[in-house]
Amino acid sequence: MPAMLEVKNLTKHFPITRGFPKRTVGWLAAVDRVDFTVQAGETFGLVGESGCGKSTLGKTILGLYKPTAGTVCFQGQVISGVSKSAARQVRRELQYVYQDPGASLNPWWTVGWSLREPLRVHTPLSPQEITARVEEMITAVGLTPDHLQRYPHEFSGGQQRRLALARILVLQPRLVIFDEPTAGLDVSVQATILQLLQELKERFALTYLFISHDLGIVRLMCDQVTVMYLGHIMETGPTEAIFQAPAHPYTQALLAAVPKPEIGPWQGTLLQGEPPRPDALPSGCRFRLRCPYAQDDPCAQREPTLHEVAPGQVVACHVASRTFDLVSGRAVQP
Amino acid sequence: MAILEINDLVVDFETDQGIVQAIDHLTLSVREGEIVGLVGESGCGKTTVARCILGVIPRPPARVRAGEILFQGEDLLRLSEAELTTRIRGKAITLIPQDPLTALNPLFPVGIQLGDMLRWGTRQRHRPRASRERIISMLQQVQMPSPEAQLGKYPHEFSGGQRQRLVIAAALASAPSLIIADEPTSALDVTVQAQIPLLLKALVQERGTSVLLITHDLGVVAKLCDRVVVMYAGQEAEMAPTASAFTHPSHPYTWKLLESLPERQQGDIRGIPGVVPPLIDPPQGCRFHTRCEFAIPLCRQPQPAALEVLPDHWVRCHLFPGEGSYACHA
Repeated sequence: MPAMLEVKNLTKHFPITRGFPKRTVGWLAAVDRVDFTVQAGETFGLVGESGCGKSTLGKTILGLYKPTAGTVCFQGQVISGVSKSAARQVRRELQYVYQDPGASLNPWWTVGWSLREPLRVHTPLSPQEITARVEEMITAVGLTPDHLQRYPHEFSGGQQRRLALARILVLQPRLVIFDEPTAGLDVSVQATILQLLQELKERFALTYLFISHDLGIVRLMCDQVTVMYLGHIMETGPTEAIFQAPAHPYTQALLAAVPKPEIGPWQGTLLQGEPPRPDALPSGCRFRLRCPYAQDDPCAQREPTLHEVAPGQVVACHVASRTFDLVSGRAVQP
Repeated sequence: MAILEINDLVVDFETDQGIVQAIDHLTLSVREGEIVGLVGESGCGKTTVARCILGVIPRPPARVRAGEILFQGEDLLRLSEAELTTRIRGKAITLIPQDPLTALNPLFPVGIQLGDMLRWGTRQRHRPRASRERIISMLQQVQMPSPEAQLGKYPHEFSGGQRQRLVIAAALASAPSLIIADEPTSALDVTVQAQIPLLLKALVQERGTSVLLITHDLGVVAKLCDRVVVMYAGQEAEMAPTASAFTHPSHPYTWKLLESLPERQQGDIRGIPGVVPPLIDPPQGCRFHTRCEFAIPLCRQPQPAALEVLPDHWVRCHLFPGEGSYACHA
């Protein structure tokens, strides 16, 4: 059985333009040679700081951006760079939940009209069947059919997320991409939304791709995690392995940076400064300028490639590889 | 000794739909040299409290119905606008705003803006050179790299973390007794976010400055604050030393809030069902009883009074019967 989603060598470059008339003075690698596979039934987490290319990656997978290089396979079928009509077929089963669901609902439409829209576009269902499906899904997300008569502004932030979920569920998707599913919600509401997401996943046999910067949520929800930094994968592996034994210095720093809500000491971040601009990356490893373990050779010379350090745990770091290089006996403790 | 004491504060907003009871009999205190976390869901009145303290709440529509805000023993609500301006705002009490970019003037170099803060805050005219040296030392204290080179730059030339450092420097310029920090890290990246709270803590501890830290990040509260005030629907639900609040959360709301954190979930994910009640028509009695799984009939009628359940640990909940717990706020 083919994987639900397979991303191979995916790259998205944006032109950097100056002046009038516009001329292209350079290219910004928002997503740079990214590979990963999402198996059916999995929840796959994509984490990183803002500007690391998480959302661009999500939108490139969906086909909103045309990839510069690389392919996206959905259920064994290449979906990147295909015609619009072919893409429309795929988009029924591959859905995207935007960061701000309030903004993706038309304020002039009743919620019911917004929820019926995807079915009118994608399916030949009769109006009665559409109504039945919409009512089923609005109940599934914990709202009532009465809510269909209302307008988006009448709903709270948490309810708007539920509406966004109902709107994609009517199409019975297989894979759902969530861009920051709980950004801007209070913790109490956030927990109820996460609870709903787990329920729906089981009920409708969904596969999730979570794009988030919140490590707490990713740890709670995801089976697999990929850590991105400036468009590149730094580390990927099973969630527990990544959180228990992060191998990449960036993953370690990211985990240390988030204060745990319990009493105890906190050293804060291991990192100085802020991420460099993605259009002016350093030579070699792109993390080296902020890395506490960086060395001139090989970190500044060669870009590290992904290699396995533990079963299923893959890391792009020269230092981490040495730390784990137990075969040659040259284990270096960072 | 409390530097700031808010007693029984009641603030209403008059709107077209009716009267919104934004702050309802709120009591809290900040002691000298202490960092106090003010946490709660959005819309619970955290920012309104900060604005009342600084006297920058528009009246009308706001109306202070009762209560007092004692700052160093003096009721800020009774001071005239002129007194607030000359002695309090930007001097004895300063603010670290949520979004540093809107707090800095885009048209002036930061050196000039920090110089303004310094002159205004200390009410002294320094010679240009002395003033320049003071500003450079201010920037050094907030660990700004190569401070001399930064003075002529405009706010847009700084990154988010550096802008936050600039407004912290500005807030410290007048050597205030109290700093109100309104979500100081919410606009920053994760790895940068971690740098700011520890910097702020080191700076205020050095100076003995008190801080009222408004936040929704319970992780930051746990690591940074000496005491924490949990607000719900315009009232304080619980006020306790941080260690006590995290190990013995006593108000059901605090308990559920901690349980909602992804880091604390076990088995099935649990949140708090329902939503914050509309403050235009808040529930009678305890304001949390509509969402509280332990609610008893008593919760629906009188409002619970604050009760000390552990040393310095105050809770407003009917589930703690004791002297005064049946007392009803008028």
